[in-house]
Amino acid sequence: MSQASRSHTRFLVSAYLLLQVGVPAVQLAAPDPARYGWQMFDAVADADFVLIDDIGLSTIDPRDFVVASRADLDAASYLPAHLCAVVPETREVRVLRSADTVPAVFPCAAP
Amino acid sequence: MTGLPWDERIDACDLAWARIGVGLAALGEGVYATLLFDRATTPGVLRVPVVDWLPAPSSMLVLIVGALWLTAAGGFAVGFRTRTSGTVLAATMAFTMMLDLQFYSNHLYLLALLVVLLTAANAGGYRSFDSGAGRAPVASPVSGVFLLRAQVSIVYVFAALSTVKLAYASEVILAASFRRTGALAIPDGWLTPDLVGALAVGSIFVELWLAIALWSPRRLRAATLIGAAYHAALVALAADGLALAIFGLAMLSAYAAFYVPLPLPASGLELEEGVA
Repeated sequence: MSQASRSHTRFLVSAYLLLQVGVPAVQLAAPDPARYGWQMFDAVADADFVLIDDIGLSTIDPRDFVVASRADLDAASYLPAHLCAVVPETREVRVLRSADTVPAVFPCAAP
Repeated sequence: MTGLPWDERIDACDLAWARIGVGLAALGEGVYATLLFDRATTPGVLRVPVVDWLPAPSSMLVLIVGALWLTAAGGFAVGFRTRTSGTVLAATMAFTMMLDLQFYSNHLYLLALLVVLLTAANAGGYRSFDSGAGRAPVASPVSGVFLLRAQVSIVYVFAALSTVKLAYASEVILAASFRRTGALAIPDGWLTPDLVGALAVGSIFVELWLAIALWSPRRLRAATLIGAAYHAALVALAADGLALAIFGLAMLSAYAAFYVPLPLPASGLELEEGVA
């Protein structure tokens, strides 16, 4: 086995270990549960989604609008803009997370 | 460990069990991923692509990815053209995680890493179609076996550390992670903060112990039994039992790397007594 080949393998092993230890270590400081960090407890936090249109308001089940409910993907960040786009006549989306007392309001852009 | 002869080839017949187990777990995950893909083609469902230039999920894409994934996973499990099937399987898994953020899961990520490592470690050398046809190199590089072991320990260590963090931050999330429906459902009244805390502390100790004990030939058999019992308990008690079953199968299969003795750093003598 040549010296170059040995150095190459040593570099690959070191790089792999650095990545596999470094990324989860950094993710420990991120909000729970962070991806690529082997954080296993990932119960989805509850949030109520209310749509406002010209007639009134209606509560929707967010699971009807996502591929999969994931705790590491904050639905409240992605879903309001999507709901504005796919639910006709929606003027506003209100999101009340279980930990909050006041709903976050996301106005829809005018068509 | 830095002085290990990384390029040295060793006889690693036990890696076949890891390949078979990970291949079967990948088959199960493939069925689940195909269902998710299909769901992603439903009109009105949110898309969160990692990069914009990848195609949107479509019926044709579901068919292609599903067929590639399941064929490659089957080929990998039986050791048919192991390097090719492993490469295709890992690439399909990576493509799936890139296609939409909603497709990511810890067990899919783990499976992708294990498939890459097993492919690099020539895990198709034994108990495979390849070995029957005389195609695969039988010997495995020390680096591949070592990285498989390291990956298992890394997962356990960080799973434990993140549970420590969560136990202080939110018992609510810990409690919500337990099974609430079905025959094995845990009655609400049982999940007191004290019990949830005790189970969290127990899982932290078990995971940290496994991360270390698996490296000791003297404790390897006990660690394997405790690891199997621990993963079985997770499947029985946790809300997401199916995902944890796939995760447990992948982890337990990778234990096979600890049954392959590694050579001494300098002399090339075996560092450990084989246990198998």
